[in-house]
This record gives sequence, structure tokens and C-alpha cells, in this order.
Amino acid sequence: MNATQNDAHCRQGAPSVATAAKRAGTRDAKRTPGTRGGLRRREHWTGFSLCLPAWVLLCALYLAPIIVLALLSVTDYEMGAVRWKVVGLDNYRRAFSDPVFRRSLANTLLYMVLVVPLSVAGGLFIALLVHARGVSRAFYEVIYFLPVTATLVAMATVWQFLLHPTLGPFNHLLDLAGLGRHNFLNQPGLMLPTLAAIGIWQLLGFNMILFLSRLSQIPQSLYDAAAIDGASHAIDRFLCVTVPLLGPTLLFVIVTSSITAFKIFDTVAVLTQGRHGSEVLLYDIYLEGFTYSRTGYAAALTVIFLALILLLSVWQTRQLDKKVHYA
Amino acid sequence: MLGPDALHVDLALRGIAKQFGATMVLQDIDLAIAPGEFISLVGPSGCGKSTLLRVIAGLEQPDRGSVSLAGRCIDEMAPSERDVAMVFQSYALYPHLSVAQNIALPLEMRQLRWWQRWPIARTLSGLVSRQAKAIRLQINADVRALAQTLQLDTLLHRKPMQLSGGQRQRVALARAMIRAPRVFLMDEPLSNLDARLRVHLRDELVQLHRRLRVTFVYVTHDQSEAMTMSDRIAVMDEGRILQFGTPKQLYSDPDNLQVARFIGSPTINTLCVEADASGNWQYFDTPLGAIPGRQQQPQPGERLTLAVRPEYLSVAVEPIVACDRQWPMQLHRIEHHGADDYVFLVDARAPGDTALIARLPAASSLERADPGTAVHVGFRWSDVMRFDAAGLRVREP
Amino acid sequence: MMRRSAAPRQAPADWSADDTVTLYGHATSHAQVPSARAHWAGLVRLKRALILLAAHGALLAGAAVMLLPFVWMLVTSVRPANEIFRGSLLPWPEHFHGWGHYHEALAYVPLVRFMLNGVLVCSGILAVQLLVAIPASYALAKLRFGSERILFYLVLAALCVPIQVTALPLYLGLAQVGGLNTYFAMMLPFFLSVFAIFLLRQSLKTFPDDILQAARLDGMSEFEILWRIVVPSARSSIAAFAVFSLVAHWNDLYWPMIVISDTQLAPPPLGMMFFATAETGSDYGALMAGATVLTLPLVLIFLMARRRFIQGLTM
Repeated sequence: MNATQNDAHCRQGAPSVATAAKRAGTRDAKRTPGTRGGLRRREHWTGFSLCLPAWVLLCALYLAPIIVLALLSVTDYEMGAVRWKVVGLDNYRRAFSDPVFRRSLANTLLYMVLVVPLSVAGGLFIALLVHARGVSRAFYEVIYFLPVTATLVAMATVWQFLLHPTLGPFNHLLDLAGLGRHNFLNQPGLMLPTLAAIGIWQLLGFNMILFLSRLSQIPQSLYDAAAIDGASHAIDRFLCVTVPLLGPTLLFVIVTSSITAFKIFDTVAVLTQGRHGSEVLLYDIYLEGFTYSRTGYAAALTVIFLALILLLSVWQTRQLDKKVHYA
Repeated sequence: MLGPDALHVDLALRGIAKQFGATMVLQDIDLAIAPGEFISLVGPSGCGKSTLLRVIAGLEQPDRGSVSLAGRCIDEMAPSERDVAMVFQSYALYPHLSVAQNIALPLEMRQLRWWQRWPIARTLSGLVSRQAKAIRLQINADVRALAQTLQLDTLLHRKPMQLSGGQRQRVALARAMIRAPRVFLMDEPLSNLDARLRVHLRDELVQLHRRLRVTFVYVTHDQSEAMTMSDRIAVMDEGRILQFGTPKQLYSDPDNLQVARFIGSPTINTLCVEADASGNWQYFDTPLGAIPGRQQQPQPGERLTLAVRPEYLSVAVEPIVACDRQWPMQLHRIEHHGADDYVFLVDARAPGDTALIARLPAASSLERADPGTAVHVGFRWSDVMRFDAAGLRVREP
Repeated sequence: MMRRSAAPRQAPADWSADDTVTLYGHATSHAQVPSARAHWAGLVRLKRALILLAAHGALLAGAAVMLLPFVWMLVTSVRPANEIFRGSLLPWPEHFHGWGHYHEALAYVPLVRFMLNGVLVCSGILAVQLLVAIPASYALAKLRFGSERILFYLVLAALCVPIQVTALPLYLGLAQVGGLNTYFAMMLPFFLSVFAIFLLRQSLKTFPDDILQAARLDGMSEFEILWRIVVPSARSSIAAFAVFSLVAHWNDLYWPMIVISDTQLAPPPLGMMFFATAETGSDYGALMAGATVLTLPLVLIFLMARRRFIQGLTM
């Protein structure tokens, strides 16, 4: 209330002062303290009011929920329960002795170990091949990027069909080859690799595009210079120019892919529903929090999830900041 | 100065032709460059000068023709084997390497084996192989010595991104110099710098050339750069060399109108004249009479282009005494350039395309004349160059 | 001078940045007689042809794997049920089934409704995101008002927090006020896009101050400057973000799965999941038809505006 009044007052009073001051010269020019204060107050109010909605939403959608989450994680609150009490770090202790949670953590890490190296190396390899193409470059770009654009849930059902033990063409082929049929989405040992294959299929094109955009930023003159400086073989120039210049991008792609892999959820939800052998972190949190309504426990798991993802995303955000700054 | 008929030839291009798609970028280029010469390739953008430089470097393969260096054919050699160094317009510094590493790279590539070059192997190979360590120490010493002469010694640990344009330019030069190549190739190395720095570095390059006494091939679109630095200049257009000669020759004795127009600032004045029915030359309604020294009687309707450098035009309010021909014009504008004034003139009879520029010493009688003042403009026949309808120089008798 | 022993031909791929670069790789010998030149050029040409063949071979094989699910989805959606049941391996239907499966799919689940839900939710989210983020990012980029530093750091910090972290408290809050199973619930957590603020701030930072000063001298208010000068100049960043936002929320499953249990409100991914896990989930003809319909919009937009699309997703 007070704020709006003040604001209105400034708006009425300020323009003439402001224009006069501007006419007199730059902002730093010598000026009476009163005028200067008025100008600054005006900028203050403008800035503050422009940011107000963002502030409100930031508090409501990030700050408050995270505080609530942290508080919930030390209680035994269950959705809809009337009574609850503070249990300290019990939820965390319980998490690390919970076999399901431990399995889901291990599975998530295994999934990352499968998906990240293959999708990054594969993306780089394809990017190098595609980059050297002339006319056909756009063609390959479209095809490899297609899985990124498609709704993963829909494509997951397609994979489900492709891998179906009786109807799916994969098993049909395996059968023809005498390798027998496999229930890829039901056998504990096979589920995670299968999910990883789908994850790689989806991520490959994205990583390729990231590499491609960096590759096309490397100026031809650097390759020319390297050729004159003594890198007479193509592989020499690759090691001398492409690799070092791709280095930061490579790290960035690895971290981005790790985050994506770490957050695996959609394919598990559609294909395996977290059956034994395919428990992953987010799906476990989902089950605990929203299906079993063990809110306090799920909050503790979420805090662990947040801690882990922060390791990756802090690094990514710093990179992002740098990238945009020095681009 | 080394003339065109110097005894030995260092770098020789014979019949170089190159086509990109349907456009002929280079058409039968022949060029013989003497050892230690500073050669400039100038021309408007797209004239093929950069492509020619890249052909010499081995970065571009010509469709026809051959390049030889010191009497040896180098057509089949990779760029790194040709004993040429190149400075790029964008400097092409490796952004991930420090200044010292950038400068050292050409030596490392030559003197160390691949496994000795890579960062992890660097320390290891130093431990294992005493020879590699010795080479590396020598390279470091060379880099430091060179950096000192180019005043880069305080910047050795910076990355290219942290350097100013002029500093980057010097690093690029150092990287080229470290190998002590037989030929320096420079592709518009100064065009990304501001004007003051450009003039300064121009001087440094000339000094450098004087000190190194190796062949320089310098590509630029700026004729004044070429004029001030080179021993000889090749003016190019549309993939051909229009003329190859000393700056003085190109300025005062051009072979064709394009060269005459390209060289010199302000641009040379051209007057289109036509022979009348009685065989006299006519510039608008100003009769010029016969051209002295010309034997042949002109055909009626024949056209010629007369070209006069701005400094050879006389301009005055009152009729001029010391000239062969004169005619009335109007003063359009005067530009003061300190020691000189550029006087822009228009012809009242056809204002658009007949503008002439005269370059007069400052403090001439015209100094304070108002625009629109009627003046007399004149020249001497001995200062006039003639070009035929195809733009070729007419040298008679 | 170094001489590499491995012949370039054996390289798994041409590593070069450009096809022309292969030109540097001359296998060289100083004593080459001119007559050998043609032979040598022929070898180079052969080498380049082989490299080209290998590269295209590898790329096409990979492309086939990438496309396989799409092809199979389309083929199955127009294949008669008995062929599906037999597990036909032919990459085309023996008998064309027409739109049959599509009609079935539409009868099982309200596909069109899913898509309309998706459009509604995505556009609602995007509109609020832009309305909030554009003024904030302008203020962060160009104005000094005391709290800009702390706000920017909070934005950076929030960039590291995915929806899965705040989902639980937000869900509890929505449940408290009885807001579950509404469009609003689906949109709420995404009204603030810290990514949009971050991205637009960086892009507006490069906007010249002189123009802002000139506009102020011309008597424009900050509000007018923002919408009439700054926003049009940041169009391409805004468009890129719009693509990013649309794709992200069109494809999002996690949050709708938590707050929506009413089939009528489901966005495409959730609808697809309802479809796939229902008893009808083994009618693969209809399922593939449904998947085709739900995948189509984004794929079409991608094919039509490829550059912008890629730019938006890889910012």
C-alpha cells in the first residue's frame, strides 16, 4: 500500500527532474544531492516493481517448498495423518538401510554409467561424421535429432511393442537367429540395460547437436594454421585443434547428460513400473511420496536427491553462466 | 630494390588456375618473386588474391599450374613441409594455448614426436627422454628470445582472449617467425586493427622484413598499405594479375585504367574525350586539339580516356598560364588535409558524372573561395595518360 | 620432421572439419616426377571416395536405428491386427488397414482432448513465464535497484533445483486448498522459469545502453521502453525459450502424474500412459496409432522450423 503510493508520487514528480538531469549530461555529472536521490529512487522502484512477480513466485515455488521439504524430512508426517512428530534424522538413517532405496540409488548410478559414456562418445562420433558432410548434413541432423523431439512416453510404448516377448520384432528376430525370446522389460538383469539403450537412443541426437554447434564455431583458419605449423595429417589436426577446442563442450555435455540420466523417470514409469531390478531414485521417491503417502520419508529421499543433483547442476550452471558471458 | 629481371627467382608461380564451381578464381597466374622481396597482392575483394596466397601455402590445390620455391617444385608438398609461414587475417591463434605455447607450437610439431607433445606425456617424456627435455628447453629459450624482440615477453602466460588486437597480431607474427621460414605469407594481417595501430604495425613489418631479409608475400585490399610497404605490387582483378611492378611504376606508369584507378588516393581523374568530324579531340565543348606526339589521325567518333593524377591538375579563378589546355568548371567543395587541399570540381554543363579532384598545396588562392565559384581547370599534356576504349594504356609514340 | 606411418585410408573417419581439409594430407615425396602426379591424384581420389563411403555407411546404419521405432510405430498403426499378432517382420503392411486403429484409439481414450489439454497447459505456462520473466530479466540486466544481486544469485541457485524437488511440498499445498486435478495445478510450478530469467538477462545485457538512454530522452517510460524497444530486440531469445518451454512441458510426465488423476484433464504423456496401462494396452495397433497422433505435433513443428527448434532445445 505504502509502496504504491510512493511509486505514484515518484512517477508524478520524477519525469521533469529526470529529463532535466539527462539534458544536463550523464548520470555521473555533478548534480545536487536531491536530484540524484530522486533519480535513484525512481530506478529503485522501477526495478523493484518489475521484479516483484518474480520475487513472489520465487518465494512461493522455490524457497518456501524447499524449507517445507527440509522440515518434513525430519518428521514422520504421512499424507492426511492427523498426528505427526519430529523424528530427527531417522528418515535419513532409514533411507540408507532401506534395501529398495539402496537398490534404486545403485540402479540409477548404473544407468548413468551406461548412458553417459555411450551417448556422449556416440554423439561426438556422429557429430564429427555429420560435420564433415556437405549436402547431406541437414538430412542426418534431422534423423538423429528426431528422438529428442518425440514425446518420450509415447516412444516408450513403441519400444515396449518392439521388445514385446511374443509380438515384438526384436524377439522374433532373436528367435529366428536361434537365441531364444527374452522378456527385456521383465527379467531383472535385462531391464536396466534395456532402459539404458532407450535412454541412449533418446539422448544421442541431443549430444550430437551440442557438439555440432561447437564444431561449426571452430574457424577454418585454425585448421589452416595447424596445417602450416606442422600438423600434416588429419588426425594431427584433430588432436591439435578439434580436441582442445571441443574440451569445454565435452565436459558440458557429460554433465548435462549425467543430469538427464540421473533424472530417469518416464521410461521406468511406463515400461517397468519400478519392478525389481529397475528401481530408480525418482520412481522410488514418487512411490514413497505419492503412492504410499509416506511424506516425511519421501521428503528425506528428496533432500538426498537434491544433494546429489546439486553436485552436477551447480557445475552446469556455472558453465552456462561462463558460456553466455564469454561467447 | 630488386627489379623484375633479378637474377634468381625464389618463389615462382607458373600458369596457376583455379575454379570454384563456375567461377574462375585464378586464371593463368604467372609470378616470379626474387629472394628477399616484399611483394603485395592487392585488388578488390573477390579478386583471387587470398586464394593465390593459399595456393602458395598449399592450403588450396590449383587445378593447373605449379609453384616452385628455390628452384624446387613444391606442388606435392603438404603445407607444413613447404618452409612457408602464414599470418592470418583472424590471427588464428589457438585459444586454449598460452602465448608461449602458441609461439612454440610450430617448433614442437617439427622437433618432438607425437607422444612427446601431449600434456600428460610432457612431464613423463621429460623424465624418460633426456633428448626430448633438451629440445623442449631449447624451444622455450627460442620462444623467450623471440618474444623479447617483439615485446611480448610480459604476455607469455596470457591466453589470446586476454590480448588486444595489436598484441594478438604480434603473437601471430611470432608464431610465423619462430620457424625462420623461407617465405612469409600474410593474409590481410592488419585489417582487423584500428587505423593508428595499422600505421604503426605497417612500420614494424617493414622493419621486420629489413631484418629478416626473407621473401614476404602480403595480401591486402588497401592500396596505400601495399604502396608504402612493398618492393613490388601485383594488382589483381577477377583472377588475373593486371600489372606487376614497383609502387612507382604502378602509380606513374599503369598499364591499364583499372590499375590507374585502384592505385593512388584520391583516385585518378578521368576525362572521356571524343574525336569530332575534323579529327580534333573534344572534351564537351572544349576543343583539346591534337594530342602532341600522337602520329595517327583519330577517326571521327573515336573515344579515349584521359587520366590525370589530382596533383597534376591546375585550378585557379583567373585563367591559368602554365598549362596546355584549360576549361571552365565550378568549385564544389574543398577538403582541408593539412598540407594539401583536395578541391572537388563539377562541370556546370553536366554536373553528375564529371566530378574531378585536384590536389593543391594548402594556402593556394582558392583557400577561401565559396562553393559555386567559377574556376579554370587545366593540365599539361605530359602529365596525361591515355587509355583506349578497352581500358588499355595507349603508349605513343 | 614427423612422418606418420598409419595410412590415412585406415582412419575410421575423416576427422577433418571440412572435406577440403583432406587436401592437406598429401602423402608426399619430394622426388615425384610429373608423370606420377596423375597416378597420385588418382590414389587421393580413391582414398577420399572410400572415406566418404565409410562415413555414409556408418551414418546410415545409425540413422536406421534412430528411425526404427518411428517406422515401426507408423507401420503398425496401419497394419491389420492379425499381422501384428503374427509378429510380422515386414517393414510395410501386407494389407493396408487404413485408419482403423486410429478410430479404435479415439474410441478408447480422448486423444484430441489430451492434445487440447497439452496446448492449453503449455500456452498458459508460457504466457505467464514470459510475463514474469521479461520484466524481471530487463530489470536484472539494465537497472540498479539494490536487490538485483541477491535476486540473480537466487535465480542461479534455483536453476539447479528440478521440479522433482519441489513437487512434494507443492503437492501438499495444492491438496490443502483442494487444487488437485485442475489445469491450474498442472501449470502452477512452472509459472516462474528461472531459466527464462537467466537467459533473457544474458541476452538483454548485450542490448546497447545508448538506445535506452535515447528512449528515455524521447520521453518513454520504463514500461514502454521494456515492451516497445527491449522485447522486440530480444525476439530471437524469446522464441528460442518458447520452443524450449513448449517442448519441456508438452513432454513432461512427472508433475501431471502427481496432480492429475482425471483422464479428461491429462496432457499427452499422461494420457498416453493411461492408454498404455489400461486393459486396452495390448491392442498395439491402437496404441501405435495413439502414439503417432501424440508424437506428431512436435515432430511436425520440428521438421518445419528445424533451426529454431534446435536452437531452443540446446540453449
